[in-house]
Amino acid sequence: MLKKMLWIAAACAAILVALAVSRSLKFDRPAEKAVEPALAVEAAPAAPTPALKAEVPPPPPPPVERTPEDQQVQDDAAATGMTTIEPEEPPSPAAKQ
Amino acid sequence: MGAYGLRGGRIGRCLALAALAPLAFGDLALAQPQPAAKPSPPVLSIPPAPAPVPPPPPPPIEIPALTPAQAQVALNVLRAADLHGLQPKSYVPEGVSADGALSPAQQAALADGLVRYAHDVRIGRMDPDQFPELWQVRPAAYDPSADLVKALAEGRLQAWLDSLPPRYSGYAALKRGLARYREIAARGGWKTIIEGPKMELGSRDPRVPALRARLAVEDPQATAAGGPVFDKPLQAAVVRAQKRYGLKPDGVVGNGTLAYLNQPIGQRVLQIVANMERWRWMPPTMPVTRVQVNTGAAIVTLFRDDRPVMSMKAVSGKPGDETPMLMSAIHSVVINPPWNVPSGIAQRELWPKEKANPGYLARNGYRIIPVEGGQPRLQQASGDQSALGRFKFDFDNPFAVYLHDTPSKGGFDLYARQASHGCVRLEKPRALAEALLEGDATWTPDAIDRQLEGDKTVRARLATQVPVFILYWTAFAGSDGQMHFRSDPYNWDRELLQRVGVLATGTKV
Repeated sequence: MLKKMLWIAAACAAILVALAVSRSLKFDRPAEKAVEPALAVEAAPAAPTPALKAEVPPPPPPPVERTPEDQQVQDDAAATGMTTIEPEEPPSPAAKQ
Repeated sequence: MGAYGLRGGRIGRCLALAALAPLAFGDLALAQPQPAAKPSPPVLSIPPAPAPVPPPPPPPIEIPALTPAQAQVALNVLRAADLHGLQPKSYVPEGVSADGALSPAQQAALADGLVRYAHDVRIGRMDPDQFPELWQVRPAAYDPSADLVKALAEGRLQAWLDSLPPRYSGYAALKRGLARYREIAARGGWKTIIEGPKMELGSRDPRVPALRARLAVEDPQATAAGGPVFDKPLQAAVVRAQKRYGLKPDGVVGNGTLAYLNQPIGQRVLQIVANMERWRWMPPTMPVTRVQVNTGAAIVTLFRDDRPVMSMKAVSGKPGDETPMLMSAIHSVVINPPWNVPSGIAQRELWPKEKANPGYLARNGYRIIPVEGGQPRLQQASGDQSALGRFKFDFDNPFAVYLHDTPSKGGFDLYARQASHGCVRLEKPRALAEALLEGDATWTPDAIDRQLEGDKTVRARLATQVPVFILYWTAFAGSDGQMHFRSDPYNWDRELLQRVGVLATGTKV
């Protein structure tokens, strides 16, 4: 009986040691990025100028496909009062007040 | 059948007052001087408690003189008050010249106009203590003077004024709708279509061109041009219009549909103005999980994370037994509820039926409960025939109204669904019960099923109370962006407009 318990204790100790070693080796850390940064620097395109950015309109949102049931819920929600908060209006032209 | 009606609610209020009375007298007794060492004097000799002295009103806040730039901002905003359904002449001082130069008296009048505008656009033109009893959705009192002084001192008058109206998309949609319907009115509105035989697909009727023109005024998808034959595109436009007016969308134009189409444009503008006023009574933000009811359209929606996840038809109170506007929180779901009949409903409806058909009460599951020294009470047993159906959703309110199931499912097929005694009957109560009890380890769908096999009444308390808002909207933007209107079944639009002086003054809004 004592022998059995000693064996179990030894096995537990071995598992604990193995866990400690594995933690110190950090198996779960992200893959090395040693190669990526070099590629990224080479492949990085020139940053677009803000003016160009402003000219490109944002892509239109994809059309929302709704089932008739979903559509009914939306219609009913509108009928019970649309309580979403409107975004802030753009500030009025600066005026000395 | 209905539930606790408003008359029952009044009784409930009386009972509540009766229950509170001892507390009030208890306070009074505590406020009285206690003669500790002396023998107890006779009750009558106790001096009356001094009447409570109201605190003195705070001193008026003096608004500093506006700079010329501030005055210009103020005048621009006040002159545009009609965008919010308000009347600019109520706020803009008289006789202001085009360049905005103001005399000292006009300066004072402008400051006064700003304070009144800020009050009206934020909480509406009625003070909270002027609300009728059934309009329990009320804003907190608001005196804008201090905020105005601060905004002037910090040089952000425009930003402050912009922040005052409700920020809800429902309000913004009405504001857009108001501008659009005023434009329609400015272009001459629409012409009345004379009554006559039904017009439907294939009909040849001299009124069809007028019908096309009428529909095209409001509906951007409809075309005004076309012949006298009722064709498919016209039928589709009629269906869209019937949906906008909450009518049966059958595409057939009878006199009922014509009555809605023939409402004058001014009436629609006033409806929008009345509903914008109601939006100002709403709290500044809404809880993300809530049940919202529109008694004007008889619709219920459950919101989760501020998104609608479930909706259903409802039956709300009939004119005379109007469902009150209120805010509360559902605290429990009663499965297999009995119906304690309000005495008014018993006297008006049930006892006469018993007299006309003896045994009516017993046949319909009513129990007569004797009351010492008073009229006996009626209680309908739980079960399939109970007027409350299988589910009741309880929330505190002074009117004893709640949401509940009903055995009369036919009422949901109607398009005008104001028929109850004041409670809100639900088309899909089981679905709402499951949604509200979701995550409850005891009240799983299976457990609800087992409970429904019998008639035993149980109360399932919600782990987290769910706010409920019972509102009254007769004009709103649909999910299609178009303005939708209902018939003002309680006549509360007219009452509101009279109370804020829009109809009494006959002012064109």
